[in-house]
Amino acid sequence: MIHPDAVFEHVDINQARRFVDLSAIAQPDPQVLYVLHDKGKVLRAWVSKKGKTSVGASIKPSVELAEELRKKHQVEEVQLIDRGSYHEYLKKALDLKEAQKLTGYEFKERSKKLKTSQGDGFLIHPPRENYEYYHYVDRTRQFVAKRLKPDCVFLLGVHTPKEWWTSVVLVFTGGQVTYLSTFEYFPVEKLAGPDSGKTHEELLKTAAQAFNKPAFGMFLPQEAFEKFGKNQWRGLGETLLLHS
Amino acid sequence: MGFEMVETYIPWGIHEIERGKFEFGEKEPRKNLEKFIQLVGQAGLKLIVRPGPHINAELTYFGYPPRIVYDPEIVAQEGSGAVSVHDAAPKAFGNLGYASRKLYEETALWFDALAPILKRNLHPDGPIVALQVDNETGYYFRTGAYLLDYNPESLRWYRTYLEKRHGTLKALNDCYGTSYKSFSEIAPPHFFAGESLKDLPYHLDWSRYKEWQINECLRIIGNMWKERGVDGIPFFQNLYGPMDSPYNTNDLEQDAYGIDVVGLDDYQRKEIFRGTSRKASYLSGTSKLPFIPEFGSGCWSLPLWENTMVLEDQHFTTPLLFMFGLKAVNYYMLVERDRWMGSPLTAHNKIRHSYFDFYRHWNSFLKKYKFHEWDLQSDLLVLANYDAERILKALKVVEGHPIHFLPDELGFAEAHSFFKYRLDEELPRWNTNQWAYALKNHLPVHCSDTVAPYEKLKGHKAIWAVSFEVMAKAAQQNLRRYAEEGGTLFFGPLAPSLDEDMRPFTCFAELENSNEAKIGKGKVILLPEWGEAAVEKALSGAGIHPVMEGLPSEILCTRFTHEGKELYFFANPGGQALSFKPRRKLTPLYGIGEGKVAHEQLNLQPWSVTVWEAHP
Repeated sequence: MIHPDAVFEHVDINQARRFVDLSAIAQPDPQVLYVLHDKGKVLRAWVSKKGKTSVGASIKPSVELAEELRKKHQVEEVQLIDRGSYHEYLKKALDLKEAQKLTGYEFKERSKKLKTSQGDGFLIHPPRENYEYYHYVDRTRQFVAKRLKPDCVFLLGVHTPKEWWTSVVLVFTGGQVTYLSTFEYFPVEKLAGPDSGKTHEELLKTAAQAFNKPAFGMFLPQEAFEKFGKNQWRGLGETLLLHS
Repeated sequence: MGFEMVETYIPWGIHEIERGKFEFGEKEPRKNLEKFIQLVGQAGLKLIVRPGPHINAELTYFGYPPRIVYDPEIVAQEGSGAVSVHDAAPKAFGNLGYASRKLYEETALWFDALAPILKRNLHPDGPIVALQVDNETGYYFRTGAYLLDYNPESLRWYRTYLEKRHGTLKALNDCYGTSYKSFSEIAPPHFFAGESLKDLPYHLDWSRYKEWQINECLRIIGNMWKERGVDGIPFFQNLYGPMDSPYNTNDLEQDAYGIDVVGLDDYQRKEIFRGTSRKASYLSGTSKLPFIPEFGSGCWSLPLWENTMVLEDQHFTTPLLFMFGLKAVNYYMLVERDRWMGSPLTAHNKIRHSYFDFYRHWNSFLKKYKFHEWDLQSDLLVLANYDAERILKALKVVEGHPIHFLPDELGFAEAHSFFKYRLDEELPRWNTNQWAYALKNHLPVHCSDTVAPYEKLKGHKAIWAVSFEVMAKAAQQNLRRYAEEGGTLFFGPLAPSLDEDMRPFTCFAELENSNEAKIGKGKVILLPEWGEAAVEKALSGAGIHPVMEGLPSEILCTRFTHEGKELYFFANPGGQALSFKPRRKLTPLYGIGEGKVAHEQLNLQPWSVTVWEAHP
């Protein structure tokens, strides 16, 4: 979704940090039971954050067993990893010709899809939704497809009554991000009154003119943004979009 | 901002227009390297160059031409059997093998074109005063023992290394308990598959080989520059951060590899102050020039990083590094570029004043007091146990991978009951306790590891090495010599009883029946259990005392001396203001506001570092 030659500039590092800190809280961080085995002989079992655990000396991997272990160990995810199958997965995923052919993002997606290619040998239960660097890839795509346009500018402005807490300017070209900044992009005088609807309209107008594309905007108070973030996407996509 | 030196990458992939043909400004003015170098000189600045071949630099192919990173002959191979692909945005590419002959042949074309330009501009005729050999040479952040490199050429190097280390096949077979008939028969381990102590040397040799491979790669590249007349200036390398295998800072800085200075890169938020202080302290105790060749100023933009640092981090961590003995730093980066954000100068030449003023202020302090001339008081040398750390990395039954995270702890072999303690539990515990103790007790300390040559050991009142059964013969002999000549040596929780090849060996037989023994003019003390009272008693007995008595344990404090004068650094590594009454009369030099004289009570703002001069 990000063009390989996308331009990143005018990024206010404090705003970027707040965005990252919030995203880090919002990203999935399930409790996982990892069982490493060699053709069924258990080498080690580990529960994230809790530590070493026991699942017996040997296992016969299956979705049913994974579900049973998930319940027994009270975790959200179970990974049953046969070392040989794991290595086979790596061999399949790390393909130099594919790396050369695809974009880095496509390559990441391909690697993730291949995780199910080893059957019960490398089993992740329940199957994961694809996320990358704090974002659910498919849901983000859907938001862009349904709410924005392939060629547009999207502004996200999160504010307190006095300042912009975090912000993003994204320019889409052919459905890919080709430019990214924070509101540092705008002249200072345009940024006064961060909680004012008039300011928001003005920023949209300025962005639309500057990039010669329709502009969409999502402006919301810090508390609302943090609440959305911590709830992992339950509602943010429904926030009213302004359109220039 | 007060800087007198700039650093620049010189990316092979940007200057190469086709194999063996390069553009240095003949058609594209922005690629006129020599003009840039001359401008630097005309501005009265000095220049550090980083010409690769690997540079990373947030460039899509880490600075290589694409033809190199997709060449199967050059790309490394992983222990899983997979080709090693760097899963990067915006483009994945191959991680290169340091043993690839073709890589050096291709690099030679780049160096042939570049060397005449660099040669003409070397100090004293030109502004170039130092050259970085390659960049973060360390398996592209794949630090696990069994991840890289299993390319056939690397395996040839592996066997060469084994021959070099053991000398004869008989010696190797004796060491491994095997009956190989030739070195070419030996295949490397892909994970830990041992069942007893005697299986360890084979696995550890693979780790040693990987350490040597990095050093050898740098020796070759350094020599390639010298053969082309680029010589007479310091050569350095920036290991990317970790201090354990396969990164062997002490070994790499020895004369054999032609690298004058080894630095460690660092990008940390203020909250990670224990790690940052330890790294600066490690460089102080290890390197000829304690230097961080890349210290985060701003952040890369792809991918957006969870450790993004802001000015608040900079305010705290920059003086903190110097507080623990750093003498040189390259801020990476002070000027934004594509894929780099949050610097004091933007890509549009706009000044971010808060950042800009911070650097100006800090540089002005360093220059005014000629800080490089001051010596950190370091009566105590803390040694990390390089052998134990190497063993820990070798005891992995599986390695996680950037494309599928596995917790490090999942990989540690269950069945290594051949040691008294589980190293994956006890080694980090002792290391953490030791450094936390040194910090909270304001000890005059710096660090290194057990590879340190004898010259680095002498001169300290005491040395404290976390130790288990295994310690290399050379390390034991150096430490014995140190004690014999009058030093006090601390071990714990175990005294060394095995050499690096798991053969019974100790230089400290005196500790078999006692926890304390005289050795020559000095002594050795074993601390079998972690206990702060016992540690305090032992250190105090060796003449190791806090640099200032009576300080709150939350405060960090170090002391510097120069020509009979004393400087104290006080840092508050937390979010609450702290105050205390120092036992010396002090005048503030940095961080409080010049001209203000402290009286009885000294107040430290949250996350602040201050510098004071003590009255005689």
